Amino acid sequence: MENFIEKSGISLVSLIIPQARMHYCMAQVLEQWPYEAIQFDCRGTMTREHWFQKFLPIMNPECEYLQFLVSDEDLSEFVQFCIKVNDLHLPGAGAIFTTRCLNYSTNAAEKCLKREDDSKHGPEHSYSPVRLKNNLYGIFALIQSGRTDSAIKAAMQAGSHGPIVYFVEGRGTRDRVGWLKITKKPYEEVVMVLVEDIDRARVKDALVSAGRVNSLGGGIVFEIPMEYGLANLPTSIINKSRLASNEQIIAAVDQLMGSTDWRDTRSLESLMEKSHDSTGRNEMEVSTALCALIPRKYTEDFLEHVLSIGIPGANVIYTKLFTGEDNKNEKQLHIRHELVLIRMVLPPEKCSGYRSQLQGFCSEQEYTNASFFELEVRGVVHYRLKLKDQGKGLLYRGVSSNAGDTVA
Amino acid sequence: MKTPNLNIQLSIWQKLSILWPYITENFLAQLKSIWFIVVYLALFQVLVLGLPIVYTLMISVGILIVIIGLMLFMEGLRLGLMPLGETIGAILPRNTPLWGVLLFAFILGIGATFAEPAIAVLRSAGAGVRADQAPLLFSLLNDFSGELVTVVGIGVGLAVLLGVLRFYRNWSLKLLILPIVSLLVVLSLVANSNPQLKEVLGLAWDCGAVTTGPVTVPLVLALGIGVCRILGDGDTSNAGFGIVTLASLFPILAVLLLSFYHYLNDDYVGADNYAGAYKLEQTVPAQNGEQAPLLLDGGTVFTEHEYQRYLASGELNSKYQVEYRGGDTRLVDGEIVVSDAQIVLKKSPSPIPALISDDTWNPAVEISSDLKVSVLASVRAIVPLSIFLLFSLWLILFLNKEKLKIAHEVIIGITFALAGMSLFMLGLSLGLTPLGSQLGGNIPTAFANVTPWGAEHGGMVAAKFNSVTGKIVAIIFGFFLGYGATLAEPALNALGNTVEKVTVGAFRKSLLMHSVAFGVGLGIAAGVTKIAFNLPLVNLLLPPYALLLFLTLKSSEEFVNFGWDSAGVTTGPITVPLVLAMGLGVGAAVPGVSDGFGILALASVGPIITVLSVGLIVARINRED
Repeated sequence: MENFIEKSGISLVSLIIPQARMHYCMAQVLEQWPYEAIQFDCRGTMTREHWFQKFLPIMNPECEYLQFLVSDEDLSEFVQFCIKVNDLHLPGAGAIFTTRCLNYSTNAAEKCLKREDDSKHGPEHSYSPVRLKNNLYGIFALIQSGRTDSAIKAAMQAGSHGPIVYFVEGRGTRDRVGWLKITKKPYEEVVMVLVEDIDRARVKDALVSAGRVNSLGGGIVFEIPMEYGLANLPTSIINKSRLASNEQIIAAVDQLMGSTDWRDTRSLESLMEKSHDSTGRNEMEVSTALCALIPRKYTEDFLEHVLSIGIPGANVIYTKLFTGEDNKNEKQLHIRHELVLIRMVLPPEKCSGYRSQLQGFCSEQEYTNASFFELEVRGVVHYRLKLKDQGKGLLYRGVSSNAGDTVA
Repeated sequence: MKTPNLNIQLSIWQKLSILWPYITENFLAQLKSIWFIVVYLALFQVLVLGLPIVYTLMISVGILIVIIGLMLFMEGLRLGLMPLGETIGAILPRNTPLWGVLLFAFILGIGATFAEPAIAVLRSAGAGVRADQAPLLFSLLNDFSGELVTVVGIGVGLAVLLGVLRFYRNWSLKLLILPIVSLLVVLSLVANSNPQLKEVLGLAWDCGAVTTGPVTVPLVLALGIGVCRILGDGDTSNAGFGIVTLASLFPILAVLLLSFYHYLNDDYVGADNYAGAYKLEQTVPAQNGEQAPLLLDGGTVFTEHEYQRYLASGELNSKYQVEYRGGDTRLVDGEIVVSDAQIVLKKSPSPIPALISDDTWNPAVEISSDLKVSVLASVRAIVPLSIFLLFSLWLILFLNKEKLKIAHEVIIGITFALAGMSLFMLGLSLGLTPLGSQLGGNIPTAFANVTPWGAEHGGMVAAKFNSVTGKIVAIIFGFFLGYGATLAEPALNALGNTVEKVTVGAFRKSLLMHSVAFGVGLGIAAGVTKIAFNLPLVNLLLPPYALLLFLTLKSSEEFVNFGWDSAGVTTGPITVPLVLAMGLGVGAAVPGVSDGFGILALASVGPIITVLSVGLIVARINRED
């Protein structure tokens, strides 16, 4: 049985690109880099700019959400490479962002999401790097599916790009009630918005109130600070007669002004206190998102164990693994491997304990190819029960009941 | 490691408080899908046709049962049958050789056809078929009905097989559809030029529409999605679709070929090599000649019985007009006098709502026997298939030395599906079908004098409009009937959910449902036109299919998958009886129309056209962006 190997200096790179570009992108990236990717589907947002477009059937664009685990020495070159391959600097092309993993461990024979193949190593780049933003935050809002539309609208009114939506399966209290778990919703929607520091509070407030996250069973909202990122997601159907979309205009003004401060029209006061405010926020309510990446067939047993050791809830994303290798079997079939990404938002002090328990479980059950990583999460907002009855009431889906932090 | 405190102990009230929102939510969801058709039918009958609804109580109870049944059935699909299908789909390609997978697919297709016997539906559509008018069609429905079902089953089996093989080989659905449909069109044209084979066309094309039912479709969809999870490119969200399409095209081909075979063999009723028990009765044409006008004007002539009563009592209970015929007309003292004329009492068509039964419950209906029938039917549709699936799953896992582990939800789901389908069918027979057949029988009152449905002693209702206006009213009625019934169709709801889930909400269920419903409405309107004006089916069927080929060629693969699949799904247990009742009702009021075939085929062309058009519009909008 393999033991878990800890490794530091790993970042999670997320890439959001239109569906049609995926094959090209994967072929390029996998050929040049020794990394593997997990992929799941998501949808972008399209809004109507004119009233008459209400009568047209509009479909939100389907996108692909790709994640790589990249070691730090390759990080900036890798990101620049992805930007170049996908033309991410163009409006409407997609988004890329990186997050530092706090801890990373795996028991995969090869390193998870990385091939042992040192011959391929980063192409020489002969292009000028695109400047990335380092003040981006990803706001993840897990809300009930009926409320996503209004939440998206509110977030965009508060100044965000078109949000990305993907489906997760929630695990939590509803899985502890025996046969009554049939009442669980088959999936929940996660609205993900990439915002700059300055828009963060407003967009988050908008998501919380429009998604009714503060009500019972409303869901959970949290932020993950991004190290570097670039977001050029398409959002609206533009009039042919106009040469630039709203986002392009805003981006141009941003560039002229040298900052994004001009956008906050609410009050000058908040502008002045901006720096104080953001540091103040950073200090409070830090949690950890423990992510587990295991082969799909172990999902049910693993999740049962997750719940039984007292982790209040988890959300589950089914992903496909993309490797550069030609893993056709003898019958020339391309059999795809499926991994499942399980994310649990936990208070930081409990995280390592849970992690070692889960790692122990994986070793005991002889799971191969399992890996864990942790991400820093801030500003968790969800429904809190009044702490009257410590025993039962605390458990609710996705709720980190012991976080003890106050709701913003 | 033990799992210590996974489950929480709940009091009965806590359990109820968890269950209650779940129940209300699902109940409301089904209410939302079904209210339109019910309210529409009731209002049309009362307001436009001006007739009361018979058996109101029974219909209300029936509709309530339909909603509860649908609620259980849809949850059963979600919890039990679809996960089962997807699991098998995802396990099959990993551990099984290709021939094994294809064998499984073939058996599944055949099994599905026998589980949801379309032949009953087709029989009722062909209720008016007479051996003398369409001997080949009659033979197919009676002498060769076993062969017909077998052929359709093999067709569906081959379709599922090909559909799964398509996932392995990554074939485009477009490239499969185009040659098959072209072949069908050519065969239909050939058949159309032959008086015997012409009659079979409606049956053949309807077969395609009916074979895919509410159990098969979600199962096959889930299977496809499972297979594509493992095999697919990963870049297309339409992966897993397309089997349903093939399963509605192959039976048409199979039935056409079967009828060609029997035609060439000359062994249908009345032909040289006929060996069956039915005989062409020579008296039939004679009866036919007398009966047709009688049927048509049944309420406008006095019967022998009424005549006897008139002789005895000198009274006529119904309204009549007095005419005179012949005689000499002269001017006498400034008055026109007609002498020696015959006085004729003519019965006038009288609106007789008074004679329409005001029962709130049909005394002939026995709930217990209806329940038994529907339970049997749903057991037959679900149990063998589930056992087959579970057995296959067990076999695959056994061969790979893994243990079969069935989640509780799957068992609960299958139970729900069973109970749900039983209630649903019971509710249909109590509620929607009587309501639909009332309207189907009454809709001809828009353009002809007919006896309304449920009238106790015969009698007539006068035409509400003149002939052409009335027929147009009937056509418009058909449109909304198709629209509403489609929205309530469980298989389409399941397809909509699947599409929404697969595209992560980009393709909304409501967009799909409404475009499909609109298309079905158009198709049914076309079907009513066909019957009302007695147009040949081929003229109505071929132009849309030609348009369809063009649209298919132009559309993106994704919409081709969704559009064609939804066409196979549309004609299910709600639409079919309503549409057939209307088709037969209208057909009976139009001289020369003998069967209700063809409407269903038209109803499945419509949605493909609308969905593909929507796809082209969306593509256009996105291109502008």
